Amino acid sequence: MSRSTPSVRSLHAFWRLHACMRALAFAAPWLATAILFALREPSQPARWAPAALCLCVMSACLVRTWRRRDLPWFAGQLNRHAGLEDSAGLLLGLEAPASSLARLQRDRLQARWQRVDANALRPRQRIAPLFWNLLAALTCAAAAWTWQRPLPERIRSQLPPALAHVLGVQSPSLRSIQLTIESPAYTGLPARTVKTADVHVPEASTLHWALQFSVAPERAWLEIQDGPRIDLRVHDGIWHAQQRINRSILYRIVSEPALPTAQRRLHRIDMVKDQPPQVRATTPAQSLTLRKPGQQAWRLVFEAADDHGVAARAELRIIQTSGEGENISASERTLSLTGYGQPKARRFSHDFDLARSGLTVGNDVIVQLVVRDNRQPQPQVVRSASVILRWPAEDVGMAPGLDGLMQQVLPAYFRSQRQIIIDTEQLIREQRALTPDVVGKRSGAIGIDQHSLRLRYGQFLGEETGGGDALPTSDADQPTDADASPAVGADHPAEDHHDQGKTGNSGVDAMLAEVSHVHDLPEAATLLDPQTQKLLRAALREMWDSETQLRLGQPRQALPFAYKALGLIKKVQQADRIYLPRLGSELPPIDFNRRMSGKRDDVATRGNAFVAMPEAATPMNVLWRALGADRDDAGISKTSLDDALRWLQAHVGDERDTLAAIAALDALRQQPDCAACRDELRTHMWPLLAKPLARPTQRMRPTPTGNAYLDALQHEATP
Amino acid sequence: MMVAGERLMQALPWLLVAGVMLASLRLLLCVSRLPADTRPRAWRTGAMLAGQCASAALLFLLLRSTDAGDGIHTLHLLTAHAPDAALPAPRVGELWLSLPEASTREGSIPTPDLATALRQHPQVRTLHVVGDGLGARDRDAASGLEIHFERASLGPGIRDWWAPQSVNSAEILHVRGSAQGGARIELVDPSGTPADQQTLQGDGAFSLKSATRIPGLAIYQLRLLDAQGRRIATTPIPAQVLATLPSRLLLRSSGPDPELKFLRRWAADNGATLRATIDLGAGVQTGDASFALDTRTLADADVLILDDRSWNGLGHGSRKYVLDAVSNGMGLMLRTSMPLADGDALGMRVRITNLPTSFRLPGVDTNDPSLPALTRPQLRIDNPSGRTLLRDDRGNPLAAWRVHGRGRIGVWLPTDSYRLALAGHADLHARLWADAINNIARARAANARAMPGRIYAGEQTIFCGLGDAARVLQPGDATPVRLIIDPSSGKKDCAAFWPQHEGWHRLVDETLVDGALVAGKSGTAFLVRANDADQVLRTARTQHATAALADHAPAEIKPAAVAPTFPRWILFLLWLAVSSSAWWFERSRLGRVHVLARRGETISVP
Repeated sequence: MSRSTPSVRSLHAFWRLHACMRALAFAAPWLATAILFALREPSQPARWAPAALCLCVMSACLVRTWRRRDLPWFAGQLNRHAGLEDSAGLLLGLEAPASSLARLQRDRLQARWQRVDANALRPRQRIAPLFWNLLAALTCAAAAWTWQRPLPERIRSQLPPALAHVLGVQSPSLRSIQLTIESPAYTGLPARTVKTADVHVPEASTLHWALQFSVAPERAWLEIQDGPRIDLRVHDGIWHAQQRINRSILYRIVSEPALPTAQRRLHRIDMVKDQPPQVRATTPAQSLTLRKPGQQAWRLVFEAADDHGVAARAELRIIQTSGEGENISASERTLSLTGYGQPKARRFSHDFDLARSGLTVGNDVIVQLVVRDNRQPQPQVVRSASVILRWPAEDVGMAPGLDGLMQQVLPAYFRSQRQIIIDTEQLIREQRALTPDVVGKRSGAIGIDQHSLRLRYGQFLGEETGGGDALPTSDADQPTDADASPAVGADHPAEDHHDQGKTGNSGVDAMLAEVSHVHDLPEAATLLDPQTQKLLRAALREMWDSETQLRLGQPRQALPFAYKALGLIKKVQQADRIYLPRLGSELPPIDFNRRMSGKRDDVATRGNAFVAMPEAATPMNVLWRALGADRDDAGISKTSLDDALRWLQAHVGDERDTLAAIAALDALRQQPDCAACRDELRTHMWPLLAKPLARPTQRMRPTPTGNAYLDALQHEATP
Repeated sequence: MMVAGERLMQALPWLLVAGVMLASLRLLLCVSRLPADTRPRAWRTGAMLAGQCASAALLFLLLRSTDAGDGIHTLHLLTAHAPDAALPAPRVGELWLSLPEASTREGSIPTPDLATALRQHPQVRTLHVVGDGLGARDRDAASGLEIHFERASLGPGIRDWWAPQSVNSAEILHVRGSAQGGARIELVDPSGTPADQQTLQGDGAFSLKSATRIPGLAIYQLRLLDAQGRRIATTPIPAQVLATLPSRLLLRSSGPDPELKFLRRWAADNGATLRATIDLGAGVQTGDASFALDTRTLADADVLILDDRSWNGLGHGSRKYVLDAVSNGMGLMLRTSMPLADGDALGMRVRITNLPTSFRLPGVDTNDPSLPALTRPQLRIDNPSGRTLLRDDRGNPLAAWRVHGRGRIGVWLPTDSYRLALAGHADLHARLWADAINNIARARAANARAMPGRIYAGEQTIFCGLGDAARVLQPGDATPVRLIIDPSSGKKDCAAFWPQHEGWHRLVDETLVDGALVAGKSGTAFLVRANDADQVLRTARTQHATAALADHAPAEIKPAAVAPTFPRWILFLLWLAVSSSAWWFERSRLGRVHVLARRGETISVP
């Protein structure tokens, strides 16, 4: 260690500097802490005050330290060293050597200085105060940095709540919720603001969330069940989000770090669907009106109501029939009507001019009002029920109120039967002037007409009109229609059905066979009610007889039958209604080879075991039982909750309130040991549980006393 | 404590006699052991014995004696809800007391209970009870006294209700009872939706029902509303919905029928096994594998369903087998459209009569056009010893049953109940058949443990038929509470339980073998009601019990306790004087023999 001792002056400067550095070392962490504090919100000047204060104090300290570490202090320090013999002042030239002795002493010291170990002279510098100071400053810095600021979730969760509270490292919690609902413009509803997270909003509303947290979280967003995640953006300490609502949703406010458990529950936004308009005719009150004699105008008034308003213009759809009998055509036109009254309940009226419309006897005017509501972008269109004005035909007495159900059938046929009578009477009148051959021919022709008329009526009784398909199970050797023509035989005169023109007088047997052989289809016969069916059957019988006589060339004998047929058909026509055939009942074809024959070949005992289709246990049922008070707490497994949630989500949107159950399920999931949450969930689950059918059970087992009593009764009954 | 005190008083004479005997024996032994010359004089010993006896006798009298009567012979007792009118000044020999339930008021003296009051006033022979009456605590003390009960009027509320302890899944929960002061009563299902409601008539009686759903515990609510729809009272109705055992049904029919198809479908889909054999004639059958009507097959069946032709076509032997099986518990259901053979054996007859063939089910909405009219054969059921199961809308029986041995025989007339299922009312079809089948089915379902009807927090309740390891699991954390069987309950094995919390509790009794279905591992659940639940009901009960007590007062009131001859303080002083003089006498020299003289002699001898 051959380091030379520095000069006294430089040593002083070094020590002085060192002392200042030490002061700086004490102050710097505090300054840094203050700056850190300021940097949390640098824009606020007040935040910089501690830093400025620190700077001032530090500067003052530095100046003071510099000043106090002057030469006399240095001399004092040096004098503590025994080797300098309390004469450092001389060495430093603080005092002029007043005597030679002093000079001698100074020289001695100067000579000795070279050998003095400067390090030994230096007062001991303790590190510990520096360390403790640094630690204190760091603690303060940590506090300043985390004050009212969320710690990372991992650390925060480890902190005991009391300590966290003291440190001020709170987790964020919702301080206020403000929800602004902007309904679509067409609803005319003003924007409103509510202070809750659960609301009912009109369809297609836009929601603005404005949330305030007690402590600003790092991030926050809205988590929509089965939907997108909407990030909340902070502005002036308020977190905003916006979303258009097109369905009822459940959502959760999520932040990082997490909100308290109570605020993590699901909130609910119920969308109130825009209802389609309701239209009804106030005048006339009933749907079918009969024209009164001499009536020239028909007043129509409709009332349309809607939750958000009906469009002022509506269309009146007018369908008018014209023509008679089977020759009826319909024409359609529309009129535009302007409504009056409040938008929510408008009235539309129109006076229908019967004279100008050209309505004739036996025809209808059918009117519908087509109404739109104000919904944007797509209005909802609703048609009113039809209102009918009928100009009743004189000869058809129809009961009102059966429109739609009733079809006016058989008008043409009725006239046709009358036509046959007219033709027959004509022939009878001319019979004398004609040869029997011609009479026979003309009579046969009328008979053919009668035949075709009978077949057409026969349809209503399910008669076969053409060649039916061969039955698969029987009559395998029965000739098909194509094969049948060469061998007409007595069985199926198929060609009569198809080619009626060439029969004439030929094949009386065939005709008789035909008129006596009717294949009824029982299913089709339900087309008419039994009374009508009876009448029609009687009419057909008369027609057969009439046809037989006509084809035999005896129009005079045919006439009474034709008249009877006419009378019966008129009754049929006046009978009330016709039913359409039922669908879905396809009975297996009847095997005519075996029918009524008593043969039971190949028929054997056949089992038809029922496959039980018990109701499967839905996840709801499983969870209901698991949540019951008679179950242990361990009963609720995560899978049962998951299954139930899946089931609920699959059933969102039906008429039951599944959203409430989902919210309750979510609340239970967050707090598995919350008894109130269980009860809440059960309450919402009840309507979703299956309603089982009443099932076979047993009676309760009687007690031995009861059995003894029953046995005694039995014994008494059979002495 | 009191019991111990009474026992002590009963044993007191014997104790005293025993004590006197022991002391006397000791005294005599001591005296006899002394050398003859040092024995005290006989009169001294006699006086000491007499002193002991006298002291004991006086102690007995002192302890047994009561205070001198204060001359109070009538107590006016204020109980809960006593009217607030000012109390009249009591006449001589009467006193106004208020029990803790009553609000204390001027002129009445509070007393902790009636027994205390009667001890303080032993000459009381008449009670005048004002208010809701005496609770269970005071009723024992009041028996034997003449009681005049002036009851307070009951407030509006549910006066009484009754619901079954348990109900099978998908069955109907019936709640009956009576209420007063309301306009309407509702049965609210566990989701808070009214399931049934009824407008109250003059007597306030109601009968509400709701279909239960799946097995488990559920709490319905009974809600009493006034005319404006405001809630007057609400009380929870616990419903324990049980799962059912699968039933075993046998069916024989002599022809196919849509009725059978829908019956089989219902049974198969609802957890029953229905073996059906349907005859198609000439030995051809359809359905399940045919079964014989023998003892073994029938013993395993819960219900045998036969149609008229099957029954009439059975041989004598087969019929006997069937009826024997019914005697042993099976149910027999006869679907009939013509008179049945062997009516004597069946105990009921079906006779041809002239009735409309079309009917509607009673109790359903008659305006519902989707409910089809059903048909019945023109038969009537003569069932003098049985019950009617189903009537049509005109009140004519459609189905009936009677008891035959341990089983039941039913007759069923409707022929086309399947139309209900076809018209979309499968629930009605199921209900119809379930009512029919379940009423006659074999009784083999386990009995639920009989539990007290209503249990309130803070009130003692008693469970019986317990095993050694019975315990109650409390709600929430399922803390078990051991039940200790009271030996005095004998074979009934009863134990008391004081519930502390309201809510569902579970009684778990692992030694219970019977009733495994209900009280399996999960035990029997019971609902402890809040301490302040059913106020009107409980008040009505208290009033009823007090009134019954007043009605059953003994014809002859026994005279008041024997009036003591001496006041107690005199007896006490007497006993003290006798005892202390006996004590002094024992220590005195009176009657001792020459003590000093002998001592002198002894000194002088050496």
